[in-house]
Amino acid sequence: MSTQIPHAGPLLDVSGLTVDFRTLAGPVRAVHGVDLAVMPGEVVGLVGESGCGKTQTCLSISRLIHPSGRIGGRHILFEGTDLLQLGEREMRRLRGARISMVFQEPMSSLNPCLSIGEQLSEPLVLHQGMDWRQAGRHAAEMLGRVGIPEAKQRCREYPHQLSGGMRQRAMIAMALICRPKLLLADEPTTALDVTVQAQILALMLELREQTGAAVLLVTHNLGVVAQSCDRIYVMYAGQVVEEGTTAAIFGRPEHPYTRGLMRSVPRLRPPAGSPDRLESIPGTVPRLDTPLPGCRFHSRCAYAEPRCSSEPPEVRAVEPGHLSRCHFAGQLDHGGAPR
Amino acid sequence: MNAYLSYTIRRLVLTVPILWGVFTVTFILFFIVPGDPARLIMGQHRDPAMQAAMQKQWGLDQPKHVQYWGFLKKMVVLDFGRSFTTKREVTQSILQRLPATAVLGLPSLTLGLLLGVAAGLWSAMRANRAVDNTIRFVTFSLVSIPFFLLAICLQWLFGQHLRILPISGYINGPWGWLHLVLPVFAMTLGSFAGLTRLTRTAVLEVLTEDYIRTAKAKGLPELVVVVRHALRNAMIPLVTNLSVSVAGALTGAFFVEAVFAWPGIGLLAVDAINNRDFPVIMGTVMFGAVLFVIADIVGDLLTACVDPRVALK
Repeated sequence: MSTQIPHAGPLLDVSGLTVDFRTLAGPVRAVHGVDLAVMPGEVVGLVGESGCGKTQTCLSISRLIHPSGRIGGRHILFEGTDLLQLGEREMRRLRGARISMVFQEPMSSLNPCLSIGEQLSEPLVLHQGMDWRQAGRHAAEMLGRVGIPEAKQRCREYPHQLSGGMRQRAMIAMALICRPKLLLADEPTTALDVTVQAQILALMLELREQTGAAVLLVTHNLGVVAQSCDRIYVMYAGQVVEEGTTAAIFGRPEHPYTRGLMRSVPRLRPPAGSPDRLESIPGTVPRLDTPLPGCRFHSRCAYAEPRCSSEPPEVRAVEPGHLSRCHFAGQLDHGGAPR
Repeated sequence: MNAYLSYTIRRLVLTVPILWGVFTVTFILFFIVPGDPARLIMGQHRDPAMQAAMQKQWGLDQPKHVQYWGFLKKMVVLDFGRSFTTKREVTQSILQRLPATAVLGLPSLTLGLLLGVAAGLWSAMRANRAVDNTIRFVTFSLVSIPFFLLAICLQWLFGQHLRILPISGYINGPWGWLHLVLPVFAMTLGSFAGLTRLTRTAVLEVLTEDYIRTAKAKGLPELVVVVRHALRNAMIPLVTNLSVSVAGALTGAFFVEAVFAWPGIGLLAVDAINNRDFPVIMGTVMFGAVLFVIADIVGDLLTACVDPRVALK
């Protein structure tokens, strides 16, 4: 059932992942052959605009996509075990214990009718066989560790009595309470105030140091990935279009889409020669319910040539560990504006 | 607890204008709807002198506003006067009939609630599959069939066709409970169908919430997710609608008691309406209104118990 991999191998190895949905308008392939790896203790960013499939990729790792969807692909190896082959019962044993998740909306992601303490205790009772009282003490301690003052008192309170930032702290405490090996964080800071975003991000990274958990950080915010990630995957229309270390992606983006993303970030001091207006990527994301021959980005791409609309590009290594899904990877001119 | 008590007292005070409104509307309706009680009692032997005498005796000859105030003043001390037809004290009649209605209403409401929540939950957990489709078909049919028709069908099936249950009446004695079976069954079906549909919708809605995904991400088994995380939230619209359920049961009691000749408050009211028996109509309507208002307050108190976001003010 499971293929034993060497100890030094990746903690998570996703290969050829597909996610299909049946909709009223017909089948939609939301994730189209994603390869992704996370090393133990690594922070990996998964970046892209809304609807590019990054959340579905993240959810399919813990097999929590909507029931109407189907996950396919070669394998999702976690610690050498193929999650695609596991039964639901075995999968449940991993969720919350070895793989846990933090979601975007801290308000709606916590149950309004259960106290914070109850919700934090649940994984401990379930996975570590603690009784509720013991788990409650641990919960209060964990709540203190994520920087919530008067943790004991807060444990008795309900989600609506906490601020957005506090709730997300509680979510993180809940996700890390069983010391998981992998934390899947789906836009953990998006719904928060900008000032709180930085705090939550810092907290997640600090706890990662303490617990040694690897993090897959899903976000559309390039600032967040630049600050926190070791490596980055950029997704577009259900595919990974570029992969590399944070330094490589920000220093030498090798896919036109990544370049477009970088240019659409507002800057206080724009580099000399750049236009007055903030740049944006023209056009919209293609519909995924129609066949897409060629490069999925070609209709919006400033570098597109005729072959781009018919011939799907292969993934090319620009340098070791830096891959791009573009016919012209490594040949894009750097510095100057596209034609 | 203190908050609950002061809330209840405040709500009870607010009940007074509600009941006054119910009284006024009932009073107006009685005089708008055609039909003179004295004329009805005399039947075919019409005697104008006697009709006038009866109207004088009941005070129906006085100006409307005098009647209104006279009745309102007596009602404050729970005195509805005597029935036009039976000459019995209305309050006495209601209290005497109360056990019969309670013995019918309480078991069917409880059964309907338990079965309805269970079926609704099951239906929602198996949404759009065979079980769910069957439950939906059955409950939708039940809420669509008029109550009295359903009751008559049950009488035919169990009383006439299978001959295993008495079709109507109320008897004291060792086998008296047999008479209870069909009316309770009929009333249970009514509340069961409504509550199943309500529970199914509420649970399905809650199951799409983000915190259900969070619960699953913790590794909780489906049953724990549904019972601990979904049902509790889905109960909120149910307890909030408690007054509606009670009102439904009350309406059901009217039909069921009439069809099964069950001597409860429903039958008392139906008879009173047929006879234009104003004091009894007013008595039973006010009784229903009080029950409804109490159910509403209890529903709100329960909502505050279930939902920590609700603060009683």
